[in-house]
Amino acid sequence: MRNGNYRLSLIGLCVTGALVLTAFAAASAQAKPEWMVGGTNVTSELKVELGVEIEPLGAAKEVHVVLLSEALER
Amino acid sequence: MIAILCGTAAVENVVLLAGGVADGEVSFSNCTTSVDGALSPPCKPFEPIVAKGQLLISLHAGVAYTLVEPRTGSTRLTTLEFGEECAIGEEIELTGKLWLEDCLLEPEKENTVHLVQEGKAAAAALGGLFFGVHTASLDGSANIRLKEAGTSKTFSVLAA
Repeated sequence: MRNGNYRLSLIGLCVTGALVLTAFAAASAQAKPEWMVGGTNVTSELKVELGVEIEPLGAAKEVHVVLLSEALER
Repeated sequence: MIAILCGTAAVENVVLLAGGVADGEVSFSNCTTSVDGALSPPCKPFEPIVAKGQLLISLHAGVAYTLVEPRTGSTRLTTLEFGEECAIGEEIELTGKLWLEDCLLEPEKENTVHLVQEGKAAAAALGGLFFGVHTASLDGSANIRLKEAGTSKTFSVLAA
């Protein structure tokens, strides 16, 4: 009887250990940044085309992006 | 204050890689330059302005950014060239880091379009763009759409 209890405890411990390891592995896998395209992680080189449409800016609704910096002296 | 306004941007040669890394180029055209609020025709930049960089998904203060940096082995994103009569100089390098953020704060949502802008908070905390030796910023936003093999796809970023 004592042997049976010991065996059950051991199996329980092993299962718990396996679950902890699985959870840790899953957490590690999620910790890596990824691109998702069409609902799938990008796991190898993927050539894509990106379309860029600049949004109207300010009250005048002018369509541009602006690089701003301090004035430079020659 | 110098303001370089560009009305057209096109992204080319984009390759996404595992681990949230990518490489690509963007070319800007229809550009003008204003110095202290006045248009400066001699300082209209040569076009297209082609900026090349590597991209990396990055998490800062709980927000996912796409960090754009010069390619390995380079220190600049691009060099802007102006006419010889331009008072600010003939060649000025754009260096540093561009932090792109999703304007709707939904970078992890699978969408066919994401509206992006410079992440000013990350730039202030971790370093941003430099125009020559001076800090610089990028105003404005753009809708980004992705196609793979000619077909429009949803896309998102999963930050660490």
